[in-house]
Amino acid sequence: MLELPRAPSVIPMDEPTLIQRSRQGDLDAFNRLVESYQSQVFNLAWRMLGSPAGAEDAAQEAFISAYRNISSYRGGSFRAWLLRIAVNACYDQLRTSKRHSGPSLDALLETPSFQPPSKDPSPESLALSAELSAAIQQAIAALPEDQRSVLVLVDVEGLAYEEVAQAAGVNIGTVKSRLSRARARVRDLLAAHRELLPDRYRLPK
Amino acid sequence: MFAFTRNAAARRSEILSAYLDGVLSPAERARVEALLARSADARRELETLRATVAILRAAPYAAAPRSFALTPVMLRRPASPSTPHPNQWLGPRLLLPIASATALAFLAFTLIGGSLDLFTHSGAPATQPDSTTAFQDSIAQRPLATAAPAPTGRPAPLAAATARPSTAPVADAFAPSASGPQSITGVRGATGAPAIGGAQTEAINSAAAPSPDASLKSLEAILSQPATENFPWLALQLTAAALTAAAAIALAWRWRTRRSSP
Repeated sequence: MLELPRAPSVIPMDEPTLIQRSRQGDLDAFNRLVESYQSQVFNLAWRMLGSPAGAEDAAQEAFISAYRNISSYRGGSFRAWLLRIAVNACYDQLRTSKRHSGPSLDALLETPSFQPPSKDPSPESLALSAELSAAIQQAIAALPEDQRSVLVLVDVEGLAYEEVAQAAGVNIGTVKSRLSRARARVRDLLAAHRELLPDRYRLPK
Repeated sequence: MFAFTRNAAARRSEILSAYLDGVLSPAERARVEALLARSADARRELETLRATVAILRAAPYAAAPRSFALTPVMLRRPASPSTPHPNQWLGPRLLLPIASATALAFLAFTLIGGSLDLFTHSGAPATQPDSTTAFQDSIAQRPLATAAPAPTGRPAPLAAATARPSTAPVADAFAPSASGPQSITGVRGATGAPAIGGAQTEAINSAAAPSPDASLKSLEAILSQPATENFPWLALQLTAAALTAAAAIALAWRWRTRRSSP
């Protein structure tokens, strides 16, 4: 069995208080929430969109939208609520870029500066070559939007199925089936880059 | 059969994927383990999924390149469409019904106005010797207006041509050598079909070039008419055509958006 999904970034000690104060229009309180979640939101957007510039725009839009709509947060996982807004901001971006040119291949291969979120920079992360990283990004980009968001939320952001169901507004059965289809598809696409995979991750034929 | 195998394969992938995440009930887990014990295929599939997930989890995690903290200036901008319940494409969504309704209204206006000859007769003297024939003729052509609706802009010029005083271009248009009533009857006779058939033939003749001289002349006659008589029709019909086109574009856009939305 796999180890537990990636641990969430540090949750502010007084998250409920910060949310409460944000509701009352306290921008400083909200900005402390932004600080805690900005890497997750940016990373989700980058994986969803494939371009760091697009991801920055989507992340900023997501936080603005979250602040404006904070009264619609009714308990439960704040992270899931926030990431759902981020997923919607990404969908908006995808539509905008579809209407214009769409992300270029260069944008897909462009990578932001990496920094593992935890205090423990895993050697595996560093060992993955840039080519493999680009191959992963391309495989994710090839997924239909609904599968892509579920895969990114579970396998990149480390959300639990229940949180994803809440974030994507679907039931757990749908999360399971979208996730499994997305994983099977990514597996097939990565199989084409078998030579890039470190031994540890070599896909069985 | 194929669909069935594909479904079965998808179901197996799904349960193996959930098994990897440790979210199965004890009973389901026992079933999967029994499957794994007897099927090498299932074991291979589980391994490929496990490797895929491990790769995804080891993929680099990007740190935020800058602070996304909000400033009061950012909040002064109008609300963006990315809300928790986005309601996009308000524009096209409204455009479609508005454009279709307006186009329909114009079309109805054109047809009713055309069949009552409300507009085209306004400039024509009612006491012309052949006014009866012209009237009959306009009755014969009424189905035309319905057969060739707004966007072409043609029914009106035709009606205008029939409503013309006989001393002027109508005679020219339909039979260069003869006078009004006879010439019109002559044309109908020649096509061999009364009423609607005849009218349609005339429409085709005067609308599409290949007929003799006559059609050219009728076109000239129409063009040389006072602008005041033609203008409102043309403008209204072009507007109706433009609105219909806008409605069609909005429809196509909505269809595309719906297809691509999650």
